[in-house]
Amino acid sequence: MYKTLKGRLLLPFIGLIVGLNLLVHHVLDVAMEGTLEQGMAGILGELGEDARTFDQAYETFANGSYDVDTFYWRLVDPTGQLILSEGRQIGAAERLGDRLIPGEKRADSISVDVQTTLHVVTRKLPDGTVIQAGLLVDKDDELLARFASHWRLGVLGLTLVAAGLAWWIAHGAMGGVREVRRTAEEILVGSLEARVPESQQVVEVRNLSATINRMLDKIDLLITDLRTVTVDVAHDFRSPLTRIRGAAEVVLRGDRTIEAYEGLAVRVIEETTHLEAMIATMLEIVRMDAGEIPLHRESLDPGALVREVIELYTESADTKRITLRTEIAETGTIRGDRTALRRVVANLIDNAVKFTPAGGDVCSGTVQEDDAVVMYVEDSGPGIPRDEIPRLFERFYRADSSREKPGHGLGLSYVKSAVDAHGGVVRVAARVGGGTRMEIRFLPEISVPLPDRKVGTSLTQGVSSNIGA
Amino acid sequence: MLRVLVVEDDTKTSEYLVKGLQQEGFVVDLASDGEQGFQATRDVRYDVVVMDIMLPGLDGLQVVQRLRQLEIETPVLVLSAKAALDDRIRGLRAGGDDYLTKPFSFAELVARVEALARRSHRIETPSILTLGELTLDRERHRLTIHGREVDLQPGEFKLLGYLMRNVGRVVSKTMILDYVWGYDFDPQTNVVEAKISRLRTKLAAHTSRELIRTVRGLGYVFEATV
Repeated sequence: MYKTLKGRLLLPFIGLIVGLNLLVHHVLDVAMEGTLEQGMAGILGELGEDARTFDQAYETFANGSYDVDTFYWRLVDPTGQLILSEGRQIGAAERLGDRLIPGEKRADSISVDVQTTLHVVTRKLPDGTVIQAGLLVDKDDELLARFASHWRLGVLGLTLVAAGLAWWIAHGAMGGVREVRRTAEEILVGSLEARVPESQQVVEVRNLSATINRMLDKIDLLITDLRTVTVDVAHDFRSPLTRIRGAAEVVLRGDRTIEAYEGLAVRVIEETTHLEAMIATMLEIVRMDAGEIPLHRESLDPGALVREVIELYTESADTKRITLRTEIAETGTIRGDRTALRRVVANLIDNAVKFTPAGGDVCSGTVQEDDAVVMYVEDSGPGIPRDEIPRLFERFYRADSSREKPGHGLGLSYVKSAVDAHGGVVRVAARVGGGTRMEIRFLPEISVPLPDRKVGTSLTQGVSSNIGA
Repeated sequence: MLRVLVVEDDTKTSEYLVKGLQQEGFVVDLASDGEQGFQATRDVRYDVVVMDIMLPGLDGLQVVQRLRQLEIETPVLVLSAKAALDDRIRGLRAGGDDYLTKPFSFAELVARVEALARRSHRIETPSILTLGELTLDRERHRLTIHGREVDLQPGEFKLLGYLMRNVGRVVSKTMILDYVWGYDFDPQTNVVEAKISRLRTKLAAHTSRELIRTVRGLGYVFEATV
C-alpha cells in the first residue's frame, strides 16, 4: 500500500495521529500519577502540621479514623519508643525519621510490591517526636484503569475518523491522476485525440494535466507531420521508380539494341541520382528540424557568401541568357554554419535561375537593416501567386507551374529548415516591377542596439507575404 | 597493377564491386566477412581494401582497428550506408583511410581507391602537370597550350586541374562539385555542365583536340594524349 501515492499520504497521517495520541496519553499518565502523589503528600503533610509536641501529635492521630487497609501511620516518642501505629506496617518506612533534624519533614514513595506503592510523609517535631503518615496506593487503580480504557477507545475512534477523512481527501486529490491515466489508456487503445480534462481542483494536478495535454498536442503534430512526410515520400518515390521500371520494360520488349541498353543505363543512373539526392535532402531537413544536426557556427560575411555562390551560377545563367548581378552592401557579420547557409543561398539562386525565362535577370545581394542582416535573391520570373505562398515551404510542394522543371520540391523546405535552425526568418515578397524577391534575415553577430527600437522586432514576423501589396 | 581486396557480405553488391573494379584494371579478391577480411589483409599485401561497415561478426571499423594494432598500414576505404556519419567514421580520414556513403557512384569509388593507393605508395601529384600540349602550373596558377598562356578564372583553373589529375578516368558531376567547389549537394540547375562547356570553349581557342569528353550518364573524362 505504501507504493501508492494515496498510501503514502494516508499511512504517515494515521501514524502521526496514533503517535500523537500515545504521546498525550503517556504525558497525561505521568502527570496524573505525579499529581496524585503531590496531592497525597499535601494531605499527609497537613497531618500534624499544627502539632509542636508529642502530646499534640498524639491527640491528632488518636482522634482520626482511617481505613486501616490503605493507611499507614506511626507515632514514635522522643526516646524512640513506638507509641502508636495503625494500618499495614511497612518495614522499609519505619526508620525514615531517624536521620531527620527536629523541625524537618520528608516525603517518600516506597514500592511495597509490584502492585502497591506507599506514599509516606515523615515529620520530626521540635521535641524529637517522629510522626509518619502514609497511603498505600494500588497502581492498577480502578479509576485509572477505567479512564485509560475510555481514553484508548477515544484514540481508536479518532484515528479511524481521521484516517477515513484522510483517505477521502487523498482519494479526491488523486482523482485527477486517475483521469490522466484513463486518458493515457484511451490513447493506448488508439485515439490520439483524447485529452485530460483540465478543470482539475488540485493545482498540481491541473498543471500536470495542462502539461500532458501540451505534450500530446506536440506529439499529435509530429505524428501528423511524419505521416504527411511518409505519404509524400512514398508518392514522390513512386514516380521515379515507375519511370525506371517502365524504361527497363520498354527496352526488354523492344528491339534490344546496344543504344537502347545504353540509354536505359543512363536513365537509371539519372533517376537514382535524383532519388538519392531526394533521400539525402529529406533526411537532412527532418534531422535539422529535430535539432539533430549540430550547426558549426562561425563568423560569416554575408556578402562573401553571396559572391561565392553567384560565381557557381555564372555560366549556367549565361547559357540561359539570364543576367546575373550582385548588389552587395556593407553588412555586419552573422554567426552561421557555412555549409548550410551556402546551400540556402544556392537553393534560392537555383530556383531564381530555374524559373526566370531567357532574357530575364537574377540579382542577389545583401543589405544591412537596423536590426537584421538581409540576404536576398530577386528575379524577373513570373512571380508566385499569392495563394501558393503559404505552401511554398512545405516539403515536396511543387507549384503546378513548376512540375515540368527539374527538382525534387525540397529546395525551399531546406531553406526554411536551415534558416529556422539559425534563428532567422525567410520572407517572400513581390519584386517591384514584377518577379519574386526572397529574403533571408538574420540577427547580426554584434547587434548595435538603436535607442528607439528593440533588436529583433522585424525578426519576429515569420514568413510574411507582401505580394501585390 | 593494383591489388584490391573487397570485404562485403552482400553478394549482389560484392558481385558488382568485383566486376567493376576488374573492369578498371584492378586485381580483385573477395572476402565475405570481417574475420576473413582481417586475415586476408594480414597475409596478403594489398594496395587498398574496400570494406563494407556492416559485416557479420567483426564490423568494418573493428577490422581497421585490429589491423592498426598489428601495425598493418594497408589503406582501407570503408563503405557506410548511414547518411549520418558518426565520429568514428569521420575519424577514418584523419587516420589515412577513407569512407564513402552509400549509394555512391562507381566513378567516385574508383577515384577514392586510386587516391588511397597513390597515398600509400607516396606518389605525389607534381605541381606542374603536362599532358600533351597542355601545361598546368598549379603553383603559379598558369595554363599554357602550345606555350601560349590561356586566361582562366580561378574556378575554371581548379576544375581543369581536377580533370587533368584524373586523366583517363571518369569523374561525376557530384565529384566535381565536391572537389572543386566544396558543395556536397546537387544543384538542380546544370551548373557543372555550364562550367565544363565554358572551359571547353576556352580550350578550343588554342587546340583543335577535344580534351574533355562527356560520358553519358556518368560524367566527364579528360582524354589522355594518343
